[in-house]
Amino acid sequence: MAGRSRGFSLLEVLLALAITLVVMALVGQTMSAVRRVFRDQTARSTAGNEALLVVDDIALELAQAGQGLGDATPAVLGRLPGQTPNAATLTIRSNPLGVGWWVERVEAPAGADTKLLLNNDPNLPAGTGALLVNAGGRHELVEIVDRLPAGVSVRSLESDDGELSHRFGPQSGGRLLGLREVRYFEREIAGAEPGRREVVKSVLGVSERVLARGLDELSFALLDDNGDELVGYKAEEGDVLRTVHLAVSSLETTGSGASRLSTAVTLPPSSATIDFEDRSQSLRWSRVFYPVAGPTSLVSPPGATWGALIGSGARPKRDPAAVSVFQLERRFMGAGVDHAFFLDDVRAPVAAVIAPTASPLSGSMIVAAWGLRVGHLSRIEPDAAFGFSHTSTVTTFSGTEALAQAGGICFGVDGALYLTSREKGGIYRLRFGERGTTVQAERLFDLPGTPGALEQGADGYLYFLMHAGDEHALWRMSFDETLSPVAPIAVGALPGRAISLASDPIAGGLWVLLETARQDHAVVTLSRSWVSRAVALGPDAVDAPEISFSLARWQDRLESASSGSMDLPLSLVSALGTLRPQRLDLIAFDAAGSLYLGSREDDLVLQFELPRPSGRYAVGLAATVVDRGAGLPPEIRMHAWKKSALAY
Amino acid sequence: MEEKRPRLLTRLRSPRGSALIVVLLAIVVLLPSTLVLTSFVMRRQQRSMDYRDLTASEFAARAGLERALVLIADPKWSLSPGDSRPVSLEGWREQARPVVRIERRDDVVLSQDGTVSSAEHMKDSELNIAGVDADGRRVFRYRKVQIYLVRVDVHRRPTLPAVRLYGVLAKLPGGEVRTLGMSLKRVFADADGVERAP
Repeated sequence: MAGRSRGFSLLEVLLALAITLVVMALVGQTMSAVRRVFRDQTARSTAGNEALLVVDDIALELAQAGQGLGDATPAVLGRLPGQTPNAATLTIRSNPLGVGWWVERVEAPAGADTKLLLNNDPNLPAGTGALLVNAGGRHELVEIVDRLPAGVSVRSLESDDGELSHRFGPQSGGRLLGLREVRYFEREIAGAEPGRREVVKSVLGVSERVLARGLDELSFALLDDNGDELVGYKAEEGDVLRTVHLAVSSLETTGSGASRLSTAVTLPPSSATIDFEDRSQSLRWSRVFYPVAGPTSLVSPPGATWGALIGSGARPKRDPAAVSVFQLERRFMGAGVDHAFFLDDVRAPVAAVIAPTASPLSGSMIVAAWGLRVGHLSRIEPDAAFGFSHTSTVTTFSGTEALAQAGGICFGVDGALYLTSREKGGIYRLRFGERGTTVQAERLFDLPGTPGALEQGADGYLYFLMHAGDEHALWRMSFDETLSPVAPIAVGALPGRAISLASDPIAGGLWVLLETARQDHAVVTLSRSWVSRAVALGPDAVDAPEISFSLARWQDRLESASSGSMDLPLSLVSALGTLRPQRLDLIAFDAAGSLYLGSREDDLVLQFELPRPSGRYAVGLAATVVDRGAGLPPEIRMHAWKKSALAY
Repeated sequence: MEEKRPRLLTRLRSPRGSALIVVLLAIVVLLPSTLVLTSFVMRRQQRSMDYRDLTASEFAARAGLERALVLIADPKWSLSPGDSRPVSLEGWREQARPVVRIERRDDVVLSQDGTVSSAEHMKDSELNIAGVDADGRRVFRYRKVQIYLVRVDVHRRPTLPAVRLYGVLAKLPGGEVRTLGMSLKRVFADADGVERAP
């Protein structure tokens, strides 16, 4: 009916109301969910941003660590000055302006601040921090209290009474260095619920600000060269801190879990050591062992202060082998064997080695010998004093074909003993039983020639001498990632008849004793880089190694020494009359890096020192670049200091 | 006479009209939240990318310094005091390539007692003088050292600060090259490396 309006029935109204309520409830629920997500995401975003900010800020500060300080102080400490180390605290030091002064006088009146007179007028204002260091590696954080004519008065920030704890006078090589010290640490948020913590960045004497409040965890790990963590988060004297690993976790939000961010920052180099010793010198003769009957090998395990020469006697097949033990003394003197003993059941020894910790024979000396008729391998166990003497137990393993005419023996990275057999022309692996009383030999590789002396290189691979006809070469047997031996390869040709091989425990190179075409006995040094090049380019493409010692030339110099034109110690000059070795058979290094050359025919062993830096004449040099503003070139500020091992 | 209703109201009485209302309501309610959440995600992603790019730039700057170090150690490469030379780096993407310049500064003379002097100041001294110590070691009194300043700039995006690295390298008389110091900072700079306000 037109013009008539019809109302809603009760049922319609109730239905509409119910639908509206359901829709409203749905919308409300959705809105609540959205609000929750919004809140969580805000918290996550804030925490994530804070985590990024903290990591970025610390990483950037670490990139400046130690600049301008040289090696005077650890650039990074896992603690606040004067406090105990902990994993959530980091102190980063640098001297970005590269300023430093020598201390010329120290006046420390009782009850008053210490006055330092310096070599120049320091422009450090009162209230700023500075660092006192000395040549002994001591360092102390101080506050500049007042400026004086050509000096300052300071107060220690590391002692309770403000007095200096160490000596920083001119006798101690004291220096005052500018300092920027940045500290990162956590603390409770004032007025907040207990347990809520904030991350604070504090720049000594400049500012302090809160970097983050939404973080759950902040942790640092200080790592050394090998990636090992320095104990107690310390990086103090003697530790070589290389990397700082930092990690932050943001607070856990409902249902989202905590997010973690971590990074590792390698510390930049901040100084260099300049050596003043002339390293172009050749070998320096330091000692002679005479008589040592038929020296065939020398053992001196890493870290030991002793060495042992193994001799074959005048008639190797008949005479028992002898062991001469001596102390490593790096000074000029005559022969000094402390004690010697015989190995009654060992005849014609050719090689000896000390078993590493990983082996069941740990600490024992293993001697390979050709024997009277059959080759054998003997074990000499340490005596009660952990040395070798006539009380040492000697066990001879039953002979196997592998031991016939051994060329050399050496332990591999897998703890097994490797042996080159001259007679069989192959490499053998010997595994010992758990008690070290049994041995199982396994032929690993056949070789296209006769192998000789065997040594472990600094890279862990085994190197050995090989010859086929008149050609002599260095070969290498490497290990794969499962420590399984890999088929040997030729590294490079040698310029003469190779006799003996040694590995330098300090510099890591290989030294080969050989007889040259001119009937001279010479030593060639194969540095690690030479070996790498030879392996990369092939044995024919690498340059010939250089001769670093010639017996003939050395004899000529001895003639000069006899006539008084060479400065040699009296003990050596007096021995010259008996020392005319015409051939050499042994080359070896001791644990301290001294070189030994032995002659079986002449029953002597000569000890030489290599031109290694002693550290006595080293000077540190550090540089800092300071920006001087637009249009001006940056300025380089340098400072040097005499490095010394003396403690002050 | 039938009342003429607006077109929209007429449509609202139909099922299509009701659907339109629901859609509009949903859009009005959900759109702001979606926009905010998207903004959060984008901002967070942007910060992560910035952080990643800055870290990559710092690594690239260090690689530039390493390249300079190798070059200075090369006996065939030389530079006179006061001269500078750019170093080209091959194998880098244009956007990420570090700009490296090596400048040779005046040589310095280091004495065994730990003092540094300019080579000019020591030009009348006998720098090769050496002595022999009690153990027979030959020891120099002075060491003349070549000093090189290496500047590396890495600028990945205009919105990011450039990473600038200064390295001071020393070439020793034996030819070895050592790093004496290195500083790294972030600057806003134009394409020529001139600093500008952020």
